[in-house]
Amino acid sequence: MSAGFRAVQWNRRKLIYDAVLLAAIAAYILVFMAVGRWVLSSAKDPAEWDDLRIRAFGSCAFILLTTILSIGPLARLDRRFLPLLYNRRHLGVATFFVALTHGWFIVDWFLSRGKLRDLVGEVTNWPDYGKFIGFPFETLGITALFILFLMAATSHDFWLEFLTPPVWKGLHMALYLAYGLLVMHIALGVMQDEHHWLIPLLLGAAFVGVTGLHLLAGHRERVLDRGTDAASDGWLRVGPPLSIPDKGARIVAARGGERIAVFRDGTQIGALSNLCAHQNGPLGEGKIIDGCVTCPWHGYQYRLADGCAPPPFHEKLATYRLRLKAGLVEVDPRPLPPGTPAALSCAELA
Amino acid sequence: MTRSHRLAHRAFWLVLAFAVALGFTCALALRHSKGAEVPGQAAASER
Repeated sequence: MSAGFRAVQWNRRKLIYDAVLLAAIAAYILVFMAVGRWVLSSAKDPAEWDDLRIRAFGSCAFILLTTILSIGPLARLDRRFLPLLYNRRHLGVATFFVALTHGWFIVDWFLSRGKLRDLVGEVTNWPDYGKFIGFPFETLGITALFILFLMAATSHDFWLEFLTPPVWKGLHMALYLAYGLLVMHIALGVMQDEHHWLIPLLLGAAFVGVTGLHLLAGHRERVLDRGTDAASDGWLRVGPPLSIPDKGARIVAARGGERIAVFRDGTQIGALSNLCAHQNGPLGEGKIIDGCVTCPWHGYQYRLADGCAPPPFHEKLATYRLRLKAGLVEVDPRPLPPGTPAALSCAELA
Repeated sequence: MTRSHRLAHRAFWLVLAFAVALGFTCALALRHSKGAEVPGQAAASER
């Protein structure tokens, strides 16, 4: 969380995250090359070394993208994966550079043999675009690389604020398309050349795994999105004050409406928009830390009383009116202007 | 995520899962029936 923009807001957690990430990438490349050399005992041929490094970086980029796309639904399904979400953007930028290296090694392969025209010919052989087997799979990879570049270039918080979180999140959904393109890039590329059973098995398992996680998490969200019926005066029932966990929240939503996070901090109960102002993270799944509601994604904080971030920060959230009726907490689902004080003090909880 | 973003997300993954599963299955089924070298992939095979 920062009051201004910096290139990278380094902290100890990010440094550890990035160090582990770089070490894992380096280890994978080294192991891939070593195993490849062992399998291809005649790897003294430079052509095979070139081939190995192309595949090492290509498979590494695919594994990284598979990991990135798994983190979101995993964190929705199990909170223990939330620490991986914290610095996911660095993982995305690293994936772009690994994929770019893969692309450069391919260009270098053609350049070193004076066959760059062959590569251009493969991509611009228009009749091949009408085929399925024989489709210029390189184009799928180039398109996916372009999407990865767009994602990496707009990953900074400057772009998040400039585009607004809903537009930024919508734009970054293009990453799913990039993943689909990469699966087909491999299926129509190396899977057609190499008939080893391991390639379709690993590729299929990765795609089924990622898709299954997204569909499972999506199904769970769908159940929550159904919302609850409001009373005749439009207020939503939350429940007894003690049913709201201390320092935590209960999430409610009217039918067809956005989610509301109703937090309790001792005797104080407050209702805020469930959308964090940073990346629209699920605020209601966070906790109250140091007296402030804290987003589980990146730690953005807001005061429970009025939804304002503590100074020097300037983010504000919409708040909601609360009332106690027959011993039950109820919330008015019509949002108040961001930063409006609306918390309720329950003396009976003292 | 906003409600509309979640709706778009669910719809997108359903369509993507179906399209890629279809493409992957076809690519898998057709690769063994490939008789001769596909001209467009000559250089790739050489790689």
